[in-house]
Formats: sequence, C-alpha cells, structure tokens
Amino acid sequence: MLAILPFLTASAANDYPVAMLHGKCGAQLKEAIRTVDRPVTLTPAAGLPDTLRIIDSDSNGGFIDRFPSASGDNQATATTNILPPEWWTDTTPVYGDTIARDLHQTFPCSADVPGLKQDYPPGLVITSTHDDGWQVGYGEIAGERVWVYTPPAEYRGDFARCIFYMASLYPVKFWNGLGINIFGDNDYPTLNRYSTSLLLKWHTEDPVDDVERKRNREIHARQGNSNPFVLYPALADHIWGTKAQLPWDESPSTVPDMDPPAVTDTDLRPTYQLTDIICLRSPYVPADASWSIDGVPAPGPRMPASDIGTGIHELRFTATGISGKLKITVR
Amino acid sequence: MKFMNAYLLTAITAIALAGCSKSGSTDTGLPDNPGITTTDPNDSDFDFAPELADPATRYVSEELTLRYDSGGIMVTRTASSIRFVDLGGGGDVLISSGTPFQTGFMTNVTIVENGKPLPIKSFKTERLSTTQIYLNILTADNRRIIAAVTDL
Repeated sequence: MLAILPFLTASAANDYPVAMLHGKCGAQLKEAIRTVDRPVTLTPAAGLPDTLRIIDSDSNGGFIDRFPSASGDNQATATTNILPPEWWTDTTPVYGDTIARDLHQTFPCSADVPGLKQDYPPGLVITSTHDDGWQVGYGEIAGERVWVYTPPAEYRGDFARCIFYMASLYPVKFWNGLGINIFGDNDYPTLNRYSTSLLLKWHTEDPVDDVERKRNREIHARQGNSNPFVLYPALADHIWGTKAQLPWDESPSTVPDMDPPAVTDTDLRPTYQLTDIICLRSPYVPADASWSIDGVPAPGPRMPASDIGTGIHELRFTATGISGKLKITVR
Repeated sequence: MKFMNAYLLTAITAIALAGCSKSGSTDTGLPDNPGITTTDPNDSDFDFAPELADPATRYVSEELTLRYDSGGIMVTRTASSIRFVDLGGGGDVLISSGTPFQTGFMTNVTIVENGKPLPIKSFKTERLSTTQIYLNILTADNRRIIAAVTDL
C-alpha cells in the first residue's frame, strides 16, 4: 500500500482541471483559474509552523530558507506570508483567513524575518536598510519612494509565481495598506504595470525547478489545490504578457520548462539599417506564423534588410486564429 | 508506518475534497465587468459617422494614440481581441472580449491600456466584417475611445 504513495502525490499535482483553461487568454484565462482553483483544506494557524517545516525540509534536516541570513539564527521558528493578509482586511467576509493560511504563499523563516519584512510588498530595493541574503529598503513605484523587499535571486521566480497565484485567486476591489503599490482595484489584470513588468521578469529569469515542483505537490496533498503557474509556467504570459491575446493550450510550447523565448534584440522593431538582419519573429506572434513582406510571401524567417531596400515596408502574418500587420522602416 | 498511513489518508482525503471543489461553486461574490451598460455611447454631441468614413487603423483615447500608418505599431486581431503595440515602447493596448466580437453592444469586455484597465461604461461594435472592426467605447468618466482595424 505504501508503494503507491509516491504515485498518489505525483498524480495529485497533475489532476489540475486544465481543460477548463484551454483556449482562453487574458482576463478569461485568469477568471478561469479563479473559478477552478481554491484551497480545500486549510491548515490550522497553530499547525502552520510544523506543516511548513515538513513541506520545506531539506535533506540535511534543516529547512529551505527563502529569507536566508548569514548572521541570523536560521531556525524555522516563525512563518511569513509573501503577501500580507492585512491587504485584504476589508474583504474578510469573502476570503476569511484563507489568505493568511494558504500554504502556497506561506513559508517558514527565522524569527527576525516578519519584523524586517513587515507588510511591505515585494519589489526592487534601490536603497537598502537590510541586505543580508535578501533586501529590505526603498524602491520606486510610479515615481514614489516605497518600502519594499527583494527576495534572493534564486527564489524570485518562486515569489513571482506565488503572486500570480494570489492575484488570480484573490482579486478584490479595494486594497488596504501597501497592497495598492502592486495591485489595482480590478478583476483584471489585478497586477499593476510595475508588478507585471517586474514579476514577469523574475518569472523568466528564475524558472520553475524541482524544489518548487515538489513544494507544489506537497501542498496539493495537504491543501487540495495547486499553483497552476508552477505546473504551467506559460500561463503567466498568456494572462499578463505578450501572449495575452493568444489562447493558451497545454502544448509542447507551454509545458513546464519550455516557455516561449523572452523579448530579445532579434525581435521585430520599428526601424532597421540596411546592414541589419530582419528576423520575422515577435513575442506577440505565434512561432508558426506565415509572413509576407509588401504582399509577397517571405523567403524565410531571416533576411538582410538590404534585400528589401530602404523605405517603409509592410509585414503581415497569419496563424491559426490570429493575424496581424506592422510597418517597418529601413534606412 | 503509522505516520505514513496517516499521511496517505490525508492525501486521499485532500484528493477527494479537491474533486468536490472542482465540481462545485467557488463563487466569491465578485461581479463580472461591473459598470458596463448597454447605454448608447453616441449622444447628441458625438457623431460616429466620420469615424466610419476614416479607413485608418488606429487606437485613439485621451491618454494614448496609436496610428498604424505612423509605423512601428504592431496590430493583431483575433475573433475576440485586438491589440495595438508600439514596438518602440510607446504604448500597448489590449481590447478583449469573453466572446467573439459581434455588432452592437457588448458587456463582457476589457481594455487594458499600458497595463491599466479602463473602467468602461459602454462598448459598441459599430462595424464588423472579416477585414474591418470599428469600436466605439465610452469610459466610466465619459471619455471616448475609438479603435478601428481595417484591412486585416
């Protein structure tokens, strides 16, 4: 009987009702996640430290510390939420204390972390007051100096995917406290421009790894739901990123660890020099699109700008369910 | 052994409960698309006819203007969405609907302009064909948005 346990825990993470998400994008995809994904069994508050010590245990008998410190006690004597429950205070009748006890956004930490982190939002610290494995200090959001904390580089993607999850499951119309710095009062996109840009960057730079997948499975076994952005990382780009117009499907291009490429300097841009190479690719366009230039089918995915000469040129593409056009200038 | 059995029981219970949740309601009481009405965006001070006569592909709001003919503006269209992106970094607008666009008033729509959702009072598809779509939109604070995609 015990032999089937690994199978059970693995299949638990894979039973996500992914069919409900297929073919959707943008606001509809985010809403679909809210509809199908919800914690089923919450861990009692008093049991959180012990539960998290098991979930986040490492092979040396310690714990995986997302708020490491060279000088701290490094004992898992406290817990902290990535996003403070206080931000949802006025929505307690809707969400109860789920936000404080949702394991996906709760981590074990040393005793000093909650006091340092307070109710600050995740962000990019510019001037730090604490810099010891992770940072606390001032960041800049919409031109304002705001207290934020920055997780260690190796966990920034984990934090981003956790916030994607929270923004999808718990959007509200009124944010308290510092929540207004990263969230908007709307069902979509919920993330604001600052957090969208920063979190998608973290999500790309720190992709899902085995530690995060194991954590997702462990939580599913206890709480009854998974973080879909860990199971299917490409979802984020189809909700908030360049693919927000393109229906998401669990295809080889969207399964974990096979995310679409990020924007690079080879993507299409408005102007070229004659000596440049034009690459017919863009994060806004499916990779299998067919292209034409000035009404003539493109000879290939890349060509010297000199082949089409100086002037204004119209590029068009078609792919399944989507078409588009763009004018570029070659000088 | 006792611990493992308890763990297994917990896992099975969680899976069973998860199955229940997924077939049941998880409604949080949050309304969809609040504020959008079928109020006619045209009033005595505004005539959409000149907009229909203009074949330019464009997005014009109070905060942002993206004209395809200016160059560098990627315009993409699906059955239920339109996107204007200035590849030079000058702006990004995504207009999307929960259902394919149809002529007349629509309520299940969102507009995200430069990352910011715009509250909508009224959304009307004034013209729709396989190659054209003209949208007449009024925001909650009575600002007009014109979005037109032609020859696509």
